[in-house]
Amino acid sequence: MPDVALRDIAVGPSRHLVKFVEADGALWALKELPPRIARKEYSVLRQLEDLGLPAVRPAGLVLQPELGSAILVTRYLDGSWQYRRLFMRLPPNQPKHRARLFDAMASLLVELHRHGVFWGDCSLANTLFSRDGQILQAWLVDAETSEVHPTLSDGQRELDLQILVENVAAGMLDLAARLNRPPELSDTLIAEAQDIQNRYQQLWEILHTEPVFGFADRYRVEGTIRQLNDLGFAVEEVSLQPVSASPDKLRLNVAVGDRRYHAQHLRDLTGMDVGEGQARSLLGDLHTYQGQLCREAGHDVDESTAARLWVMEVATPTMHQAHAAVGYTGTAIQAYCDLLEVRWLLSERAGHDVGTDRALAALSRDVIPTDSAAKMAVVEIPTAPMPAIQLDDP
Amino acid sequence: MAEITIKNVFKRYGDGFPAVNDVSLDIADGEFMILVGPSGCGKSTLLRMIVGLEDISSGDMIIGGKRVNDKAPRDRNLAMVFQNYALYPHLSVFENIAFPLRLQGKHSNEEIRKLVNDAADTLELQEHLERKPSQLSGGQRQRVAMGRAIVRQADAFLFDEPLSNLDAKLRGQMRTEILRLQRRLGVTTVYVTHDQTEAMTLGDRVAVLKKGVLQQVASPRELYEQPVNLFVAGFIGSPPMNFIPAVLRDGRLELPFASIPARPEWTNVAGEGQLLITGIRPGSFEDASLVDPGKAGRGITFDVTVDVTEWLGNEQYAFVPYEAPTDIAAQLAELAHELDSEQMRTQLCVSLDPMSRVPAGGTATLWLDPSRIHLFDPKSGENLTRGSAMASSEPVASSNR
Repeated sequence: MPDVALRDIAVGPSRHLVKFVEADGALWALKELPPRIARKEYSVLRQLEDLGLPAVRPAGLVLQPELGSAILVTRYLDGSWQYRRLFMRLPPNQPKHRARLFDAMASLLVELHRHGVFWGDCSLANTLFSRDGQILQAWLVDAETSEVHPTLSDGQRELDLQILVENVAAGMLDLAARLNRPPELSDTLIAEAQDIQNRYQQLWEILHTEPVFGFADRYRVEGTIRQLNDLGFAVEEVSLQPVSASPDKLRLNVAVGDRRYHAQHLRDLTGMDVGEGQARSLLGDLHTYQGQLCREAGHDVDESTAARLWVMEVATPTMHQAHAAVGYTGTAIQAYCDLLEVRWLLSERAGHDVGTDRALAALSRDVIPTDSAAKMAVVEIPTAPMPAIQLDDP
Repeated sequence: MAEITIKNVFKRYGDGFPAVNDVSLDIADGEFMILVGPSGCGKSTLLRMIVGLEDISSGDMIIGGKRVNDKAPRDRNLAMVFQNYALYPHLSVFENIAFPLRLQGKHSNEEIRKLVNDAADTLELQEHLERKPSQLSGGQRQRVAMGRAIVRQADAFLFDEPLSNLDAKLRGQMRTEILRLQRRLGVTTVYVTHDQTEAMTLGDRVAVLKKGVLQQVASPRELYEQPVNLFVAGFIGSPPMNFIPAVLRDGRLELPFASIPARPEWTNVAGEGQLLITGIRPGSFEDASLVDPGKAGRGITFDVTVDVTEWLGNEQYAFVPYEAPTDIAAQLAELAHELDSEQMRTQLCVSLDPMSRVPAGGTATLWLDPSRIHLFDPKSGENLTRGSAMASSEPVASSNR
């Protein structure tokens, strides 16, 4: 343990201090807590890993019977950051960025709930975020209060959502106070936090609706599947059951799989392993390129051929240019997604395609719209080393 | 404020297993009720059914005279205390307490000010409302978290093992704060714990559960002195009650280490030659050389070989191994398993005066008041001498508090 000055930070009494350690070329998060809680949290995190849910990955549990405590070891989540980091680096009042953050939290809670996970203490402080194309991914980092059930009751879901809204509102108010934002902002922040409930409900309903339609209207099956795919959900199984009251009616039941529909499709086409949000941007680019190839060739070019050409001719070289333009911060894939967004935004503003070079120039000089997703690259800039505290200083 | 009535409530899961099995319980307005038992006993499930987090398979949940089985959690007007400990460092203490009310959007600023001020009076935080949490002591910060529950004006407070992830020192402090708050507000409280110290110190009454079945609901003192069965007797009390095989024969109760003239309340409930389990609290024994002469005549004395002694300053324990018939030993091991206990059941634990000089490895003469002995049916576990054991007629020598 290096000899460093420690400061008491005012947090609630249930908070356990997390320390970060670099070893074997990787970063690890260590949390000391009572053995009973540590075992429980470790087991929940293992289950979340088995279920493939977005949560930190447990690496081990160290029991220290002589000290009556335990240390939970989790892997540091590469490319992740806390919400404070984003808002402290952006100009004041960024409703669009807040909306991206809250969307990510609503999606995370829906993912947990549909797999039977009750979080119990969902808050901004217990969530990490990472960039994924034009959206954010939220990750559960604290499972001290979490439970995994076969399914959750409506009451459990409702309570979890209520906890989320309260904690998010308070977390945003706290940050606003920290950044000396005007008090008038409070009402907006509270209203936005409450709106997370609507985001959650909409998504939950899409995933759990069982529409009933006439035998002749079977085409609606296609529509339901497409809606789910557009949201990134794979559809694993579709069943149609006659409604007992009226035999000419069918009830559609869809077993929804992982939220990696576009990511899986891109991987099948190109072998690229990226996030769902990134895959959505990249597939858009691929399809534009495919259209261009068809026009040039004067006949249809199939998707897999277009994909092979796109990787070699477009994606790989431009990705490196984009990464260089942002000073090699973050990943090359994300830099490319940012470039695509900036090119689209500038083109829309100009009324015509501005081309890749202008977009690259805008990206490298950071003259991009403040509320664009690309602006969130500010979180990727590494924190400057902090000077050690000199206790002898006057 | 409200009373909570639980009527024949069942919780069955998909496989038909009843996690809560026909539980009926009346919690009076203002009462502090503890739900206690080892893990898997159904206590948390029962609490979650009160809050509305678990659907009720059958039976009635009645809060303040209204059946709430189908009501959503938020419509039950209950507060889960310490569900949310987090304090926000840049918000004032006032705002830390007020924000749940701001979120509800039902109150004017004036009403919020009054509710927060009233809660601050109750919690003795009035002078600190404009400060930041970092300027408060540990105990004051906990009270801020309680303030959040108070301002909701809930009909009842519910606690689900609130102290289980705190260290021992903080746990003690919080226990005191919770008790003080409950007494001051007089609000109906249901508190789930697996810790019998919390159960015994906090509750007006304690409900002991085992595998979903309610075993006994009584005051902490009654549970300690008049347990209905082996399970309750073994669960309540630390160190736990000793369970020793015995036989009634020729007018005497034969224990592995002593023979005691049978008392009428024993021969009334057990026959000649019947195998029994006796229950004797460690505090019912004394070092014979230190017994108050005024009561010495009431008890019997016998010699044992002491294996180990533990001297703790204000108390002292001696451990005496004994032989038990295999079937009884197996049953006691099963009981220890049900109680989540690792206690070796075929040794006697005796609480002695710290002044006692009983030597480890040597012989000691012990004194025992036979009126403090409970007799249990080995098959059903039922306490055969409940109500007749003299335990309640004199002060408990070694309180578990």
